[in-house]
Amino acid sequence: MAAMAQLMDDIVVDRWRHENPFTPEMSRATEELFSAGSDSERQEVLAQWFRSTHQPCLFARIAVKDDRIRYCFITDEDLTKTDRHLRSKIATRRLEWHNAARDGLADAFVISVVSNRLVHAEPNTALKRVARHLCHLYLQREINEDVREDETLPLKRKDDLMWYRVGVDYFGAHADRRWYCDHRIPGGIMLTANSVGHMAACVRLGIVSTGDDEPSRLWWALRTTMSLIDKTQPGPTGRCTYLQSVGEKPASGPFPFPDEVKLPKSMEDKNFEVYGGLYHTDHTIRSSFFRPDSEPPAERFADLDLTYLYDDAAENEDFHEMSRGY
Amino acid sequence: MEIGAKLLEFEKKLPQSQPPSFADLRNLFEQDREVFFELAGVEDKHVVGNSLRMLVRLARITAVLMRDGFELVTRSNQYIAEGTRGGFLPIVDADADARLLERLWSKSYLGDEPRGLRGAKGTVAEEQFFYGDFAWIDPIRRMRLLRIDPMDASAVTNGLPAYHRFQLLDCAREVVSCPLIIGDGLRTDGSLKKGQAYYGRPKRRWFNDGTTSEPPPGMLFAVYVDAEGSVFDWDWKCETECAPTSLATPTLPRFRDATPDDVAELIVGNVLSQPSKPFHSGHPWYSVAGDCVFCYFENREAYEERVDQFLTKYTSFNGNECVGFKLKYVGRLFELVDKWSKEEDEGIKIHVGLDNITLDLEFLMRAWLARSLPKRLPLAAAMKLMEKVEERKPEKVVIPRDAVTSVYTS
Repeated sequence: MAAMAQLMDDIVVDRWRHENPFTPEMSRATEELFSAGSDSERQEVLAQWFRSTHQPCLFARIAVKDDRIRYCFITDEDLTKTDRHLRSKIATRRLEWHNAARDGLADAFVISVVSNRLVHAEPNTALKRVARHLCHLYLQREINEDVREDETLPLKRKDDLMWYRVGVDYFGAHADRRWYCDHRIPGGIMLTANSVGHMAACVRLGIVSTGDDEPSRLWWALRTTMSLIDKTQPGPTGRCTYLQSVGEKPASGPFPFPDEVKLPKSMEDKNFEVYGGLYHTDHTIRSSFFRPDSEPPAERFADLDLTYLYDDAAENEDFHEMSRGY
Repeated sequence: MEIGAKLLEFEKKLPQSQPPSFADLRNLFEQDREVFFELAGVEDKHVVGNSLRMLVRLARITAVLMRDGFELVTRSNQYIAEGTRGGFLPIVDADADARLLERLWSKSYLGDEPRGLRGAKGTVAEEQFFYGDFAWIDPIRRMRLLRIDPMDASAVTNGLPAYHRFQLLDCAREVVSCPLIIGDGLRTDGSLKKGQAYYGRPKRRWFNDGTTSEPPPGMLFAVYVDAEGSVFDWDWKCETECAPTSLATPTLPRFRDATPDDVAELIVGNVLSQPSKPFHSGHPWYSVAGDCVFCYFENREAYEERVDQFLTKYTSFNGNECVGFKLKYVGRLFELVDKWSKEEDEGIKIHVGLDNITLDLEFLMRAWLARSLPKRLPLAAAMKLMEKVEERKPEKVVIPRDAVTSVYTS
């Protein structure tokens, strides 16, 4: 397997970007990341990005508000060093994240590669190899595309140790102005691991405040997720993810919320079991993101799962692994 | 059942002909995960015997790799998982062992059984395995990985008595993992000045026919390593010759009790992968790492006896006869032979080829004798040995040219 320094040699400039310059907010945040002199300054720039409306993830906003994200920054200088150096740096930060998670203090991990070459990289096979290799260095195994890659996060609850499966997601500067623009990030490329189940458990334990008076069970997480999907900003070719009305996509089971839980009016007639998307939201390295043009793929995903947040049926492994915890 | 009893139970299932390996740890993981996780953090008082000590150590290396990240690499024809901050785990089965490391890293083993549904949670031992703060973590990051120099690996499989191979694969690995005494400084100058000897008491002694017996009483097993981690010699020797209480002399290593920082792993992939050839009597083997020549005249199990700083003889367990020897400081002795060879009257000839220098072993023996004069009583046995060499006319010694040059320049 080629080392990261070798893979970086194959990166080429994104010619599409000449006709489609970065949005002002991306340019500004990227510039701030490159002028930052330390990881804490870089962290502040990314935190500001997560807090802003440019970034649609509500969980990220909650996480950044309560300092529940742990960061690992990889710079252009790091990219010239050995894979062993990169592995070590990522593993050290990951262990810090796990230790904080064990105490209920963090749910999210960000590996941000702040690299001028990657900011201007064409999304192609070479960039996909870099992304997969970064994920390989983090997860210590061979990484496939168009599948969910995940790991497991601990939470200490009294005398119990709970484990939460957490999926890994990929973001890139190249997403800016492309059809998957909800996956844009300043500075280069980024991997995130954000455990909703872990956060929900911390909400239940009173460690995290959502400003919500209904912290019981995972209704909060489901409602937040549906809101997140409902409010995504349309990209150049429409919304990347969307709720579907029960009229067009009937639910197979009863309404899962207890009577006292009210959904916002805009979501009352929406399917609460599945939603739709231009890409598969669970997948980590999506091959559709690594094409030089900005045409969304013809394939649509109409059955992206929401039941992992609430359906405790024995056969619903995702609920038990990701939300309830082992 | 408490952990000490569980470990003793598991120890009975460990292989009796080789040190425990990561494959044994993998079996333990499949059989009893709780004991697997407890193993790394177990208190030393519960760890009785070298086999368990080595298994505990493998569990601890694994735990460190789970903190620091690791990479699968090959060294000396063997897979190892190398920690990003140090620590080496020899891999036996590249697929199955790597798979277990991956499962532990991602904790995908949790998906093997729906523990959440059954109400079972992560255990204290599991938490400690992945996140505990232990005194052994840093020593493991500093541990040494030892290997056999390719030239020495070739000697082991091409005509040395067979028991050497058996004892390398078993006793030597056990001793570097569980050393009792360390000897610092193998020579008075050159690169071996920083070499080390590991002394320990392995569970078995090996015979040429592949059978084993109890270790010889009053003896320790010695493993000699250069400063770069190349093992070049291993043998039984009398315990009294390496006692930390003995008086220090300039020509002997400085003996001391081993500490957790001394523990090492020895990989033997380049010997395991080679078929063994029959014993080759009177063939001298030069070791680059040890700057020494080995020669055996008889295919009999033996232990080592130091004659002086230049010469060690091999004495048979059965009959107490000299069956071979090791001549050290070959570079230094070669300087003398080289000088003699330029004086025609001496009748000493060396052949300098493109890659190798070839000479009679007898010439090196004469150089040793010249160095060791005036004669002293302990040399009497060695003088007999020299007569044997002259009588048996062993094959010529072949020394790589760059090895001798490096000795000159060091």
